[in-house]
Amino acid sequence: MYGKQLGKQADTAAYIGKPGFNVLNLPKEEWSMANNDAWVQGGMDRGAPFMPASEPNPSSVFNLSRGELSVFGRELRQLFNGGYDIQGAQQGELLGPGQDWAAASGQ
Amino acid sequence: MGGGVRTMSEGIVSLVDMNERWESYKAEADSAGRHDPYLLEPFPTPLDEALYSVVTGFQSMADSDRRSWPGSIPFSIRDSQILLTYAARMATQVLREGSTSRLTDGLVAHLIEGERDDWRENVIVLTLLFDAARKLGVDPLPIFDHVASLAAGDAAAETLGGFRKRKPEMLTIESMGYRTAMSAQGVRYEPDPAVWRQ
Repeated sequence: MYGKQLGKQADTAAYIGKPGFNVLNLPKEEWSMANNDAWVQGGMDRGAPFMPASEPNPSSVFNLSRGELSVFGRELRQLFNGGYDIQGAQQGELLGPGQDWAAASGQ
Repeated sequence: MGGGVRTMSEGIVSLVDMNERWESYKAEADSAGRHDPYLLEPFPTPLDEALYSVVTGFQSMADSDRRSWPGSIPFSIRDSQILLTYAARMATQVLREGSTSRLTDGLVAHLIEGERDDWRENVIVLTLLFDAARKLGVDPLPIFDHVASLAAGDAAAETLGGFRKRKPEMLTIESMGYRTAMSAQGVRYEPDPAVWRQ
């Protein structure tokens, strides 16, 4: 089972075109936060698993200068708010909906 | 700080000079007296001054040096975040000063950052700069094109050119999760908590 790829664009780019992986691959001029949100929400609505292509750590998830999450951090928060288990999430690990998902899927 | 005087009167800025300016920036970034979130700090701060020196110096480098210099400097994710936050602060200054003189400073900060971390973060702050110019009744595209010419062919320069292709609904600050709000110093761009903390 593969998943939708979250993370910084330089990291998700490696998964573009790979069978089983779904990457939001918009031209820059078509990207917006609203489109990003809709793509993540679409996967959540289907109960799709997500995979962080970037390593979640304080500097990648939070933008201290802005005082807010990074775009990547915001994606993870969106999953958390949708009931996905992101506790201890790591780069390359599948994240699924509900706390029992990982055990049921053998992750 | 810098006022409206641009650095073209400085003459050519050398690599040695630019490295010194970058080191001065790093010292300010590491200063114990600095506070985060930088975005919300009153303008100007010593960090603003140091970055102003970097972005104006960059514009006065010889073309070949300007191409090689960004790749030669020590650079971290924090530097990406600070440079792009500086760009967002310049968008705010465009509104407060009623002048586009800071627009170029913000766009050049984007070029120096060079989309090294996540280009989505760049698109967000570029949209703020675009919006600020339009709120003054100024067409931002010629200014975007001029700054893009400083690093023609680079991905960050192409992103600037791509703004002429964006649909109107993709040029709003709301589509990037931002809003304008009043602070003690006046209007400013800031992340909309309803979007970023939902």
